[in-house]
Amino acid sequence: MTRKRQKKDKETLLQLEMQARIKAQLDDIVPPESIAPEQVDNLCKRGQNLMEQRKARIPRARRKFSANRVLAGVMSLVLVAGLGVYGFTHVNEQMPTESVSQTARNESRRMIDAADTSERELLTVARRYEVAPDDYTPLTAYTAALRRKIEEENKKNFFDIFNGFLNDGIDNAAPEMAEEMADVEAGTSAEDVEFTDTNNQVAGVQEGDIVKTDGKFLYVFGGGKLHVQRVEKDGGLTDCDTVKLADPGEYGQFYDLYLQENHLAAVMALSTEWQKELLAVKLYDISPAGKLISAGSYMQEGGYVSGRVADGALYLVTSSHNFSIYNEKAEENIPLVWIDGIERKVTTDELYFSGDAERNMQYTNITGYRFGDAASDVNTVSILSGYTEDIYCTKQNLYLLKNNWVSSRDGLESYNKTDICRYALKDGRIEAKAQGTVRGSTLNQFSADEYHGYFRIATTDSDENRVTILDKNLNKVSELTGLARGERIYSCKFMGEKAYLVTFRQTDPLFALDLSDVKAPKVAGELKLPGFSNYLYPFGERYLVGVGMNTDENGSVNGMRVNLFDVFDPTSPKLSDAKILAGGFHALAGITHKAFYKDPQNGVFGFPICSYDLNEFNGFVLFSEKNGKLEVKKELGYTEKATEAANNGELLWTTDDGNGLVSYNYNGFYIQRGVCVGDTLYLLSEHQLDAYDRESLVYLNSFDLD
Amino acid sequence: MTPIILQAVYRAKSGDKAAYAELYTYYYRQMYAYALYALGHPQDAEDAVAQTVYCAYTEIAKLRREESFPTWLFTILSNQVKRKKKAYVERRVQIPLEDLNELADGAPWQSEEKLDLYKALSSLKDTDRAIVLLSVVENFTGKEIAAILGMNPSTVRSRLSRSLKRLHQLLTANEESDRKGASV
Repeated sequence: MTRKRQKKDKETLLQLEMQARIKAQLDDIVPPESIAPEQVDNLCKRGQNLMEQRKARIPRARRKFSANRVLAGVMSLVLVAGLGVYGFTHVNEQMPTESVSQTARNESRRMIDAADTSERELLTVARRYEVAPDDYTPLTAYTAALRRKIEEENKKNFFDIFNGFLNDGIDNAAPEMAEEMADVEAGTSAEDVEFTDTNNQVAGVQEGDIVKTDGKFLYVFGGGKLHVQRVEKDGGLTDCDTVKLADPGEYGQFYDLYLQENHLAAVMALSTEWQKELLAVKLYDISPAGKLISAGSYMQEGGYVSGRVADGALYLVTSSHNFSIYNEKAEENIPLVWIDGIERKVTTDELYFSGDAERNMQYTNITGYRFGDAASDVNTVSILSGYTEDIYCTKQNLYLLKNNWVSSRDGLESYNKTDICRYALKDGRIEAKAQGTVRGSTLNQFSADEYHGYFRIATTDSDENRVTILDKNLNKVSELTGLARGERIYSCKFMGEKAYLVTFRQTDPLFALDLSDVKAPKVAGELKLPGFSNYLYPFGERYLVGVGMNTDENGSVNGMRVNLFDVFDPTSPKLSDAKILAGGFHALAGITHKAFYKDPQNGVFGFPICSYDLNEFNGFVLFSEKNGKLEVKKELGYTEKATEAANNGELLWTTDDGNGLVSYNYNGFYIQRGVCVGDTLYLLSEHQLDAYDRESLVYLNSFDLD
Repeated sequence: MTPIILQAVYRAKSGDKAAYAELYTYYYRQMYAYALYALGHPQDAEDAVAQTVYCAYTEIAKLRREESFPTWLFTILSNQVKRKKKAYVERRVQIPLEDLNELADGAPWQSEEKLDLYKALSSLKDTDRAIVLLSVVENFTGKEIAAILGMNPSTVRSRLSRSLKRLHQLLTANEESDRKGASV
């Protein structure tokens, strides 16, 4: 083992020590007599009683909702966000990478093979490259200085140490900002076919997802492959092309697709080693209708945070662990990018420093790529700034949100804070503009918003919630504090001069905020309800749909709840209607907003729901709104294939695929997304697409994706 | 997993009750420790273990891959824990100190060190704590933890490393302030 390697391991060592310490403590715990091995029979009975009591708590009438009581006998299931374990199934290490389309042309096949092979080779050689370190002497000095500083507990201004070494890149040039309100976007293709886009937070800024459509084709990940399916009349689909994607490695997986006119980008994580991840992007030219023509690839280091398509360019953000103060040689600390399989180091003018690197020594890497350019035109920026939790992105600006904490020197006091970095985006170029900090931590990307040049952010501090308004330089303009003391934010929605905030402890106050005066934001109105909403979706001019959970008088969850808020008068938000689905339900829309489906025309919306208890309904539920009233329009349950699998007990622990590979896939049959194209609603689960008539919701067809 | 345990899984799958009981002896301490620290409540921890024992017993015949038994078992347990957590959403239930005392190997609560670690762990978010605990109780890998908790593996890895750093930081700060306190 080399010296280099040993140094690298030093940091891991700290973590191992920590784990050993916890392990020692857990080992000391003496379980009570009542659960000792000789009691296993009694324990089993106790468990059975508890399970039965739990079932009995769900009122009979309410359980009627679970019409499709087909999945018996399996006791528990893991719930996974849509992106969760998506990529693990049917990845075959032995099988050569190949295009499996019947019609794929040899040329495209050859290109895909070449690209995939080079990616795989890179995985093993990525760390072995040696490049002259000359250009990175500043970083070497910085690393050494940082190390010294940490070792000596020198508290003098951190920034002074390497002043002039690195471009801190912060200027105060006024950026151009524009803002549009988000809504689920509906598009129309040349033939005026209506279709749904991903439920993007900001209008015109595309978020990645496991399925994309342009109104003519569906592009979808399934069974380790990328499929192109032509949408036909009456719910039909024709398999046009399929590409078996590169084996992502033991720790890798497929994440997202981004679609921009004639271009498609497939984003996946490649990883064969713990904490060493690469985010790989495969570019495809899709201008020959229905075909995937490989158009290059690029990779960046780190785990996937998120990505956006803004103004025709794809921006991808990763967090990587490769910075270590124990690496004295700078080249070990330089992030790498690979363009069409060729490695290059990030140069010093692409390196930024921001925030608390001292505490969180991680890089956030951003790449920017304008669709249609060569992969070699990818721009890259790396910021030594710590872990990025979420991003918020408009057409012109990318904000990184980093949840951190500050502790006083004696460690007795600490509070959470969120560091924000703003980068200006243009044609794939990324330029650092400003950074700032607010107290408290964010919930998700919906905690942030930009409107008329101001950045607004909702955070939960230790015992209260606040909304802070910052200017374009991320300096504080004003803040609204003291919201719902002792509670935390469950969902958040900024809508121009208004914002809605749901907090929860025992009941669900919906706060309507008036942000029209940036210097004096205020609470306009408040509504208290049982339960809480995890996701808020603006529904027309007047309503707000809240998807969340219902609770009893003690604050215990007893079912799912969909609220229709009437926010016509923001000073007094009203509950227009609510539907409660009692049982152990979860709405995927509460976990990822991308699972929320809105029909582009009528007042119909829906989302996949699943339950811990498979005796209850699992599937996709559609609601309709009319004159302020909600109606459960239809429950679309599991398909035959899933039912059969459930009866075979395959839902709790799915199979190996005959190649001895464990497939940790608990939710392969959960419906993950609903997409509408023309007259058809397609429901996507991991292994198949189910087609339903968009109006009548009558089942039409199923299509295998394996 | 040792061949002995693997054998027991095979036997338990075919309906051998004694083998199932034997499996339980291998895992019950880890299961209880996980449930206790994840829930922070001894009674609920026992219930979660009981429910897991029952569920695993009724389902083990369907387990496809014997070697994945530990991951499978902790998946069930973690779901029971999640369910309980969900049931008391934000009611923060903590182990009262006197109970913690009793749980400590019959011996008096030896050190503030242990209490500090428990407190530091409690300060983590539920998911982060679950990730840390799973990484130690059965030395599960990131991918296994991701499968158990239904998360994405890269998130698990980032969070584990971040949480361990945070724990280290909290404890170092604590120890320092203790030292200072002692020297005064």
